[in-house]
Amino acid sequence: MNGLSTLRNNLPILILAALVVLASLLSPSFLAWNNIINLVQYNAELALVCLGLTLVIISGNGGIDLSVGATLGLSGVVVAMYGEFLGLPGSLIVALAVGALVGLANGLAVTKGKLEPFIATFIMASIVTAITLLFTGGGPVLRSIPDAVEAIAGTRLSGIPLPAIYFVLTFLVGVVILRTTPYGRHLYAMGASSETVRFAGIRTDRLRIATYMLCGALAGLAGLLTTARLGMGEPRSGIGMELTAISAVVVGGVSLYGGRGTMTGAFVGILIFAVVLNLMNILNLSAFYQPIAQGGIVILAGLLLSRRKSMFLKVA
Amino acid sequence: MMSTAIELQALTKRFGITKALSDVSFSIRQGSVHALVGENGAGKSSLIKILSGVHQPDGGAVRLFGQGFAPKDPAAAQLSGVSTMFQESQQVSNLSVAENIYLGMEPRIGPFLDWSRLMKQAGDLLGRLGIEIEPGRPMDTLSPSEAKLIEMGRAVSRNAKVLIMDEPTANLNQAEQQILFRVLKQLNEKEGVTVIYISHHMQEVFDLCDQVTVLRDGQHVVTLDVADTETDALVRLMIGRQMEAYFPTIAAPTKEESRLVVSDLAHPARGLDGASFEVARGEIFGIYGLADSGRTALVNALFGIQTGFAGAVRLDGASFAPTSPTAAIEAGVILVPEDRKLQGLMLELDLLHNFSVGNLGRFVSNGLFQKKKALEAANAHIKRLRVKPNNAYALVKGLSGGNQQKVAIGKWLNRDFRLAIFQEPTRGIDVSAKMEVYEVIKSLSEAGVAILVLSSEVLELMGLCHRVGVLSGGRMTATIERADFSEHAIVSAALPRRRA
Repeated sequence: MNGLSTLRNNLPILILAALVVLASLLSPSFLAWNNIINLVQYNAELALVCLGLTLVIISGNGGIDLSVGATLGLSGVVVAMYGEFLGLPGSLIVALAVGALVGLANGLAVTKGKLEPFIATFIMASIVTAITLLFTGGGPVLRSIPDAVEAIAGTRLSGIPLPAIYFVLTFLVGVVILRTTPYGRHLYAMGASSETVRFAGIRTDRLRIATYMLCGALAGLAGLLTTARLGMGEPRSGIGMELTAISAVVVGGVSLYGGRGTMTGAFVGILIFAVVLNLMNILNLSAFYQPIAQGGIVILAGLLLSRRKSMFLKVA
Repeated sequence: MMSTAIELQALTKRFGITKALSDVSFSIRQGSVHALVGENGAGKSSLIKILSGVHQPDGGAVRLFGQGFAPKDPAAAQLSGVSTMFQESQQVSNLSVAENIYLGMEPRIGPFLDWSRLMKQAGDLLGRLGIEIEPGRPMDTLSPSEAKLIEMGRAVSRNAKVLIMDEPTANLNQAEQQILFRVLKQLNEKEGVTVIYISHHMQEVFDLCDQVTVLRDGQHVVTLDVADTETDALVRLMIGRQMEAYFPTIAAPTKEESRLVVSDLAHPARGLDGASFEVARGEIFGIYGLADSGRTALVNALFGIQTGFAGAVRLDGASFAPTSPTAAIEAGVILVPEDRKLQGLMLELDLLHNFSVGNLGRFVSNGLFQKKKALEAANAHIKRLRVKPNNAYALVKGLSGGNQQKVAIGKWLNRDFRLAIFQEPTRGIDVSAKMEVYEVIKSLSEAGVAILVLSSEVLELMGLCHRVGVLSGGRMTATIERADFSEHAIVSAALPRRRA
């Protein structure tokens, strides 16, 4: 690998490093421990969503899930509505089940129904959002949420808020899945050449459905976490999240054509967005600039990434 | 006692209006190497795709070791002991060699991949097969032939009782072919694996196989002991008539001036390393070469698809270096491309539009498309080429492969040209359509057009061409006159030299 391609392969992490340097120069409080912890903890939900989305995108054949934001919203209001009755374990199961069910529908539409993932999950997003609004009447769900549920967002462990730990855990789980499980390796293989994988005796439809279910379940989990953090069910909490998540993983070098990208890259992408938003907050810039900044990053990364050859996967 | 490994009973498969297999019945002895031969479109691929679980038959049945065998997917076929090495490349470029071999059968520790055992197993397997490739190498650093050997490793790793090999030697050099043959013999003789071997090369059938089944037009012609037959008889069975009746009578070339002169055409990165040849007025010049011989780059250079080639091309004496297909067409060069669906046709449009696009300017006056004129021209082409259905408003996607190919050729008949390039002109079309395509090529040559035919079917080139040039490693390694044609001469000149 020559110097230039090494530079390109490590581009996301270089961008992140540059942003961190810039942020710490502009604001001495950026590198404060509290600021870093906050930056990480407020992205735990995005991290969960990005983990699932990365798996779906790497599996190829146009794999994408535009319904993750909607799923997060539905799961969040369902556990807010029935949390008192379900308790923490029940809420956890219901959140995962709601998400997995949406994922199952997506997976079936894509494999058996042969719909384009973009179309199938786009429609699913509308349907799920509509269900959420019908279910809540459009307003927040203000029933009392069990303490145990709120505690999953509010507790600190040795001073570190749990969501910050979830962020790190999600990353580690993602790395383990992609690098050390046959499932993860099959996702890469499927992304590179779906027919070859099928001809090698792997049931690709099942693998794809399972991946959409996993992606949905993770969005469901993120919904539970959102409700726990807010202390109420907010039907609009996931709106637009899919775009942030897709932007983040793409900036991190996960190819929308499938088969290429790493979990490390995806999380670097999340952090790039987090740092930019954090910096804008520190600088007191209007929130209305945020979409412009996000879009600018995606375009910049797209231009730079499109010039690099291939993101090499290291074996072992 | 010979027992039966596979028995096909009246197997039938349709794709749309095309009958790929009709009532095919024969059986394959356990422990034998059984050759399956036939022309492109004879039904070999459909047959093996049914046996490997990729397709399901529309009628008939298969018995495997006496049991009913109807795999619903490739996974099911492999579980029953039938493993396939497909003709199309089956590699996963973003994984390692070891992962490619054990794809779907990786050793595990709980839910995790056991990397060290995977590497060791793959190393052992490759060592046993005598393939010197590091199991940890990324697949996309392998040459096409190395990748083929890894695919064979994958098929072997499945512990198959029946191994199907579809054109396994295509693109392998002689040393690599020897590895493949040795592994085949080892599996067959020592481990008792039944092998179904599909090949275009008669020599391989006679060297390796015990029995041979001939398919033609989706039907079973005959199953013979290899010892009881010989090459000419087999070829006759494959094409269903004498060679002479199958191909048009090609008149001996009259001594004409060269229309196309290619000198030292080179672009090393694209696999061309100084190819030189000439094609005369009215001459049909065949080019035979394996996948990485430079044949694609040659077409790309002559049709302006790629630029930046070294060397010189002259067309009717004038220097010719097209910078785009448009420039090539304006200079009088046409291409009937390899992939007609993607490159030759607009499948969603009708015959009228497909024919007229070859020279749209002819049907435009005052800036408007003159549909009536285009319709007249289209009807004339339909009549001349005997396209079915003879309806200019029929959509091209509904036509059979042979009729589609006629349209891909016919779109050029609206203009004058000096050089016609045909890439795999009869791939996947039936026998009668092939004969008609040959007739069109012949009539173009009689009108003085210089013709290049690139084909991977040696018999086709031998039947159709005045001369055949063999491309290997980016150079013309042989130019053979019609009188000296032999399958052996052409194929052996095409094999890559061993890499240093």
